[in-house]
Amino acid sequence: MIPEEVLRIAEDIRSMRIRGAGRIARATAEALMIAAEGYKGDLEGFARYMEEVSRVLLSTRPTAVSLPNAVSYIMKAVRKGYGDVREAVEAVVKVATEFKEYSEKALELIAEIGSRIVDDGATIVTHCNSSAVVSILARAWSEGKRFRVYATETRPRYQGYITARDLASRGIPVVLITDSAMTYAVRRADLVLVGADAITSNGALINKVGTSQVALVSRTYGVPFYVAAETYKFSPYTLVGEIVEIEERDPREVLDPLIDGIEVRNPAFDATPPEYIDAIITEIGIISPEMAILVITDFLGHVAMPETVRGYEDSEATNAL
Amino acid sequence: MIYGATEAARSILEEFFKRARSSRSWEELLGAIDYLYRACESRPYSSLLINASRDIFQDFLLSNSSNVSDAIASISASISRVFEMVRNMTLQAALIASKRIQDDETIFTISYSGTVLKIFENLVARGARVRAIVTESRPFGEGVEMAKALKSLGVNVTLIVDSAIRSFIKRASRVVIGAEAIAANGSIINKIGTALLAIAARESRIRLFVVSGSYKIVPETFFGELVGSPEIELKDIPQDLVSMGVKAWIPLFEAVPAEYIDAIITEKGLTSPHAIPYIVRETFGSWPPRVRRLDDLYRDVRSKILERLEKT
Repeated sequence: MIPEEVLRIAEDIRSMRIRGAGRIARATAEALMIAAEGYKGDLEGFARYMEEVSRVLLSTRPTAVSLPNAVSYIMKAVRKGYGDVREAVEAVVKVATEFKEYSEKALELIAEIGSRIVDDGATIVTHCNSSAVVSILARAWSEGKRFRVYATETRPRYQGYITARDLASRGIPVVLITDSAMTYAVRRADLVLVGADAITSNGALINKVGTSQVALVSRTYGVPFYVAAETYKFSPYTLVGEIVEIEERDPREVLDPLIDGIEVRNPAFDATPPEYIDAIITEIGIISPEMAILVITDFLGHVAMPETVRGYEDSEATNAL
Repeated sequence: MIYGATEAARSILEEFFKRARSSRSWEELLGAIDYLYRACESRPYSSLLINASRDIFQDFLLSNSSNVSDAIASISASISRVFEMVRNMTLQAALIASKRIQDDETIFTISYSGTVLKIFENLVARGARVRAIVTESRPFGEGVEMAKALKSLGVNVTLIVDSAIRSFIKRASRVVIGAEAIAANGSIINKIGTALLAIAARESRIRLFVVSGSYKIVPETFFGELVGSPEIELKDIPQDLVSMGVKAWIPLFEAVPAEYIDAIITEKGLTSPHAIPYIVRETFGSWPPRVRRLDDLYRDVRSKILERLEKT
């Protein structure tokens, strides 16, 4: 039996009450921890039970790589040998806590590193809502730098309102614009700064739909385009040829009620090619997008081997090795 | 609710004509003239309205009517002429454009354009199986109205958010848009979001065609005047953001540079945007265009009416 609270967290991720790749990752770690603590069976069934919880969590949002990265980080601990259930549960709680703490710490480090690229007097454009971007801007502002931000409203779900709230509550001047006005804003900007849902092994950015056209316009007008991303958003699956699935959400988010005879498409994300990205700000430093491979291999420790090619998520296979 | 540039200008001209026609005195006619001029002043981007008003003012001065009913008759004649001309220009431009489009194309468009709708009407009448992709076109959502209109024509239509232009542009065989105004250098002014569409189309080597009557050319731009765009406030943002001091405004229109436009199609034919001077010569009779500025004409019209007023 999976505890109620775990199912509730899964549902909150699916319905986007919990949103943003960082928050999703932390909520995932939390859910796995609660699941472990609520386990009632014997040691033999523990791994299978945790696999089931993982599957529930993994099914919520197909695009956010932070979610499977959090799962695989914690599930590594599940698959080690333990003497009894208590020992196994304690180990899971320990790594889940570790992961959450690391995630918080990563945000602080990104804020510190990223704030250095924000100049006094700058005009900055951002799209959607990213806790990494907000933490960078908040840090720069608290250091006494003065700047203003154009935030896109981010249709269809208006996450730009959250960004505007996050920034304005700290005193940062914000102008909300429609997504259609991106060119107008970028032409007046010194810097474009966005978050990430996933970074692929060749350095492409998967983020909220509209990000790739902000990047394109930035390149057209020579405005630097920076991405803020924790390393757990780098996708090891892409290293072995998996594509990042772009989630297509309910068309009623765009047009409600729907009109018979009008097809509505609502992809939640898009892919920005690495050549439009000036740099990615991570907690381990600023890298060029083409160096994503180093983060995935050397830092996160994933390499393309026969067993990983067979599937990261297929834990039955991994266990058998 | 009026969605397209042509439709908006037409409704102002109709309102002006209603006022002019019911005038019983020179004072009342002056009131109608003032209404028209003020409408032009507050819409520096509305090329059609400005060019139509120029024609109406010029005709009025030429007619030199000595009583109000003659003046109204002359205004009535010039308005009918303008409407007829705009209608013919639009039909002709749409006809040329629809000839250029193949039977199995997917046309990407933005906002609402009566001219673009006319093209689809031609294509459907021809039996072409064209598809359309339309962005919702925030903040006013004219794209949703465009999608409804296309659907009623029987066109297979897909609606997306403005942010998804780059995600869907490769599915299009061509971008076809209308224009609010055309400038001297071949750049065009259209609803906000059009520049984004043009840049995305260029990146994917999808051709972009602008279809518009030559009446959308703004002669003032030859003399260095910029086509202005009003900044509009976004009304639907949450109240707590407003009280925190968050601003929310955007320009209603934006320019698309000529180098992003593959062709401009007017009733005079399909040309490169850089060949706009050729269209101007055809439309305004000379190059450079010998047109009088609207504010000059307005001053003359006013003083003529005041002159008549003194006499009575």
